[in-house]
Amino acid sequence: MGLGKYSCQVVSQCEAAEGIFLVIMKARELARRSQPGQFVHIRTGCGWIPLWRRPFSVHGVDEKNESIQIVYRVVGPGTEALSKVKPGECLDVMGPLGNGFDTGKPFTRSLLVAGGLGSADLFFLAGRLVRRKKKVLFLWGVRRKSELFGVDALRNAGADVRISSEDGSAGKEGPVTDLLREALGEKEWADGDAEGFVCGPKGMIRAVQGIAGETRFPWQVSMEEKMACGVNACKGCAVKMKDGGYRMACSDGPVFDLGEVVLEG
Amino acid sequence: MKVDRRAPGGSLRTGSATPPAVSADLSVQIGSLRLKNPVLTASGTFGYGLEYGDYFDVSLLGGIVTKTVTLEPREGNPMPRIAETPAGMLNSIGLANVGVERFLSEKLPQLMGLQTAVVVNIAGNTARDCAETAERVQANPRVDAIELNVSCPNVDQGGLAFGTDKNALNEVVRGVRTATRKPLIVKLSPNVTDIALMAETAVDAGADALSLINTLIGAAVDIETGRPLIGRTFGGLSGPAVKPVALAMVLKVRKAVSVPLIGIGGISSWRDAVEFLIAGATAVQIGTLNFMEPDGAVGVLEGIASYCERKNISNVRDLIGTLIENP
Repeated sequence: MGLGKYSCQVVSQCEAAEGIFLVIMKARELARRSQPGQFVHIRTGCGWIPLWRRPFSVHGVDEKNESIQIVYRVVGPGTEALSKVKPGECLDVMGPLGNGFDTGKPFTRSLLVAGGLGSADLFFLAGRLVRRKKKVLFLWGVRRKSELFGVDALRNAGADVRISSEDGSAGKEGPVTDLLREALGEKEWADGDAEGFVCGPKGMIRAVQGIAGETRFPWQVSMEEKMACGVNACKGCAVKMKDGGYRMACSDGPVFDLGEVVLEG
Repeated sequence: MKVDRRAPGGSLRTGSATPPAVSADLSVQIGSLRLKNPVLTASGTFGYGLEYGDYFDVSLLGGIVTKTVTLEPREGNPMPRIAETPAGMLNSIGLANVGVERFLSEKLPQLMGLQTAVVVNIAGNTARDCAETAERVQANPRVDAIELNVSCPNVDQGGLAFGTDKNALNEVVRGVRTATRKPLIVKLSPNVTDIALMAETAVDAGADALSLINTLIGAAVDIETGRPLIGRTFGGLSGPAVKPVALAMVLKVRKAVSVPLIGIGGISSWRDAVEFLIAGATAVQIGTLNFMEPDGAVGVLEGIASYCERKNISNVRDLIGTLIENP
């Protein structure tokens, strides 16, 4: 498959939730070819500070309007520069990169567990799973209510969405793993006719990894690592594996079997 | 020179500069190796030469230098391996590679169709390892030259230890020289007191050409966690920030030896590349720029061609080493 580098015009940029921005950009090829779990690699500024491109999960595609969406939080100079991009301006975008989630397996039910902005690529996944007639339970843990966005759209698409927040301002108070344990107590998850998907901060993924080991169905994880080239040339975005070796998030991943990754840091 | 930078069968691309109409002769000579132009990609930034094939036609380049190959496969260093710094980056990859056997059987055959020079970068824990790797690599007809890495700052054995000690450098270069008659390029470290001395040593030991510089030892700290931003604390600094250092070292080495030099270090535009040529480099390698602009190397090539045209330079070799210094 041929990859591309595109100049994508920004259609809109809005603050979707507190400190979280949503960008819609015109991108015909990317809209057509991106799969859930894949990412785009964007030059967020000009000049050499920041130096690198920044990887963003594809948050959604709109094939009719030939656009893709990304969401991000401003955390450093790259996202700071991106937050200043105005509609009509163009972004230099490489993609779609990486291997996305495997949605082709014959499972009936899917359990999606998002921590914070780990929801970025799980939204896209949820939509595709619903389209594939899979049942979707979407568990989303945030710190507080103001970080939530797009929940109604997710529900309207057909997903069962359950929320938890650290401060109790939305949904159940506590970590998303509490929601997960609760859900797994329901008998429909007792058999193996399901697939789990997780994305979020490392600590949260580690906690889910512990719980996932007790389920009878397989789990996929989308890993987030610092990345320079995005195309397997620099070997910078290493993910440690339980077999003792490393895989590259950009090209072997970012989606891996949850049971195979070692979560450090 | 009209440059169509599209990869065969490639998709939409943008940002291509208008190619110049008249072609200067851009070919250069590195020992017995003739390059059709002076732009190569640097080791460790271009994979095995295959990773960027979707973004531009790699055959446009003068050459590619592969990721370092060692006798045995290496997993590489613990994370984090990379960190961004002002106009630069630190890396501590640790020469992660598939090993010489798989390189020869899996990677190199895929480069057969490329119309560009293939320079294989090698390293090893010992001088004997380096010589053995060189011997195995050089037997393959697709290998046009060997670049010996004596300057990796991110491994415990070999690496920088060769490049910072005159006697060790002499021994490892002699060993590799004995193992191959193919053009031998020795990649020098900037982490020395006197790079000219190391350059002389490498040339005396049989190097046909020198490439410089490898990365500068650097570090960065995460002030929130109090931890280094690189897993092994120290990494190698590259990117636009190091260019003036690299240029100064090319100038110093130029005065010390007469073999061709390949300038490396923070080259981020064709202007940077032309600076190196004027300073006395016969060719340049593009490294970190590949990460920002996957087709950055071909942009540099186009820019050099345009510059030669504008300056009425019909042969790029007439540009090399033309720096006008105060007497």
